[in-house]
Amino acid sequence: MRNLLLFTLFAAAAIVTGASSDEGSNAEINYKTYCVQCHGVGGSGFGINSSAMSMLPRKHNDPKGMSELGDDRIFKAIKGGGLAVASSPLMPSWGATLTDREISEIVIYLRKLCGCKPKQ
Amino acid sequence: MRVRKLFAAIFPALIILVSLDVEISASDEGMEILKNRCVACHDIDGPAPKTVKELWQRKAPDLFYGGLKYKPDWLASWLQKPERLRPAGYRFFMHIEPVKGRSDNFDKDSLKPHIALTKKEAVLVASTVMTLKRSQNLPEPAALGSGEIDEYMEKIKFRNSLGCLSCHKISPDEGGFTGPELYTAGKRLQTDFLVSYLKNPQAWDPKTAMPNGQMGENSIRSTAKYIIFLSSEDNYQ
Repeated sequence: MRNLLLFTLFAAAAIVTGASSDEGSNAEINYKTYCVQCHGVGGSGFGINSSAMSMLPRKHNDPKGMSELGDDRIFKAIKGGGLAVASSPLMPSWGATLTDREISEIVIYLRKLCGCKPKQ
Repeated sequence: MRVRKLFAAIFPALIILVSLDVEISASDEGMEILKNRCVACHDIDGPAPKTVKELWQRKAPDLFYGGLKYKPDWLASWLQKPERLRPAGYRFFMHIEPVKGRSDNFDKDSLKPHIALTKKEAVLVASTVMTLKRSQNLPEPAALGSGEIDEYMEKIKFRNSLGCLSCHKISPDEGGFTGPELYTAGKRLQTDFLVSYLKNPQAWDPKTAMPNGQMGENSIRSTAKYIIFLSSEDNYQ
């Protein structure tokens, strides 16, 4: 519940300040810096490191798979790592690197990559 | 007689003064090389990047805490024959390219080699880097203790739970492409730095691509020991 509130709060702030239109958002540069190495360019799931991983990273450009995930779950996975959402331990926690606002911006960015919305 | 006594008294002081002067000159010379040939890419003043945009401006590892990080012998040796420690480059995020139907790759031609120094220059620079210790509020390194580790179990942890192998190589043929190779880290890094960095990478480098593993003290100790083991002669894999 706390993560849902945090995401809603920061997503609202991001939209109000123009993050949804990429203006002032660090989502793309953060995604390239921290996510692409595993999740691949454009969220293909075939990152440069994926061949060394025992479990393939999630495909962020997959609308079907990504629509199964709620925004709050994605926020929680980025902030606390895969184990925080009972998923792969290979997904590390980025809460010490990214601010809550930056994580919310990335959630919005992921929705652009998949071209999808969470199922209601 | 008096002259002899006077000489005997002054001579040791002269020796100390001369050796001090040599040390100061050596340090000055090392700093001169650093300033002329290294600072275009390496930061020797700090602080580390605080935003991701600043991170993209950084061209090479920060050296302002090099005296806390590197082993001087390794550094002097590496500077004479520098070999890439991160297969995809220090700024890997600028070199990754998509490949249709396969894992992304990196553009090898876009990576610039590190300059090589002569032996004399390398020793001077390594000695000067050892004087750079500008970092604050760092986590205290835990003592490693004498307990043994099970290397096989550590490797499984590396691959399946900690996930270190995803980014770091534990041998030339095993591991990811974006982190620094770990099979030489034990020779490269001071143990205190290794332990402190594992504990809280962001305390050293707030925007590093190394995630905070939030490991407990025991896990930090066994991970550090395994990393040191990877560089040791006992590792015959």
